[in-house]
Amino acid sequence: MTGRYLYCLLSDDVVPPRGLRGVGDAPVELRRQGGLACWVSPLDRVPDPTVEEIRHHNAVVATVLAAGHTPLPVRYGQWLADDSFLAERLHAGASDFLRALERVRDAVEFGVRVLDPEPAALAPAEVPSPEGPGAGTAYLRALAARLESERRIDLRGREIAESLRATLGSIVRAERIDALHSQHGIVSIAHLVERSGAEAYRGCIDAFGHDHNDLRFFVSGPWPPYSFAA
Amino acid sequence: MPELLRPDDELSLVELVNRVLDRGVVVTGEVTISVAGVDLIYLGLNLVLASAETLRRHGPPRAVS
Repeated sequence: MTGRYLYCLLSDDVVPPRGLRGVGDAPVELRRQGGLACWVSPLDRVPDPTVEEIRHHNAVVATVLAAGHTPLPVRYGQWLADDSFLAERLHAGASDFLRALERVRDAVEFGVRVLDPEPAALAPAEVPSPEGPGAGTAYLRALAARLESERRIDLRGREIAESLRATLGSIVRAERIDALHSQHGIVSIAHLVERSGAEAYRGCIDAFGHDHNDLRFFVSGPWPPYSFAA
Repeated sequence: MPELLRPDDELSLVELVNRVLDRGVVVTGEVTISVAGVDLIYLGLNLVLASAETLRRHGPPRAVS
């Protein structure tokens, strides 16, 4: 009995290129179940999460994207004991998976990470330990200051994301906004973009960056639509 | 000026790991990878992220590749 490691789901039969290898250096194969197809590798155990294997996983999913199809990417580490378990899970979730595939059809994902090169001083991440007389009050004050500064950054991030979305218009089909609480981070945005609009998207981000030159915009993609798969 | 990331860029690595480990559809209905392994990757990524953001703060603008 050999387990199956899963990369992505597809609504069309897209055959993996000959010789394509993925996680664990295992060959990549096509499986079908009802109206769904998927790419899998025979693997006898759950792979360890390493950066190298994460790259391999993404390289396989990106191969589908590069072939002109949009897959539904599967999260890293999804492993099933054999083909019958795989068929059972695909059958059980078929209607959800097909709906999600329809949502991402002919689209790709881009990421925009917005950074502030000169951020206002954040309240300290570490608040004083509540020990000694008056320390409890100091602790609560420090905690409140920290939460307030994060709230201000989150609000600013949402405003930037909304303004960017208005600029991008209909080439963006969906978006996901996540707060960043790193030293320079403001917000991380994922956009689901029409495949035909990818060039226009880059142009719009470029123009938006010129208009907001106090910030840094790091654009990555096109990605398989990981952020819009669930 | 916006900067488009090269595939091997540190921030691009953060974007990659966030997507592949944390997003994407779950088919098996349960998390099957080791939580300790995931924690170690994120610990490393936090260091990468801090260094990459600081470099971008002081470094020259990147050409679009």
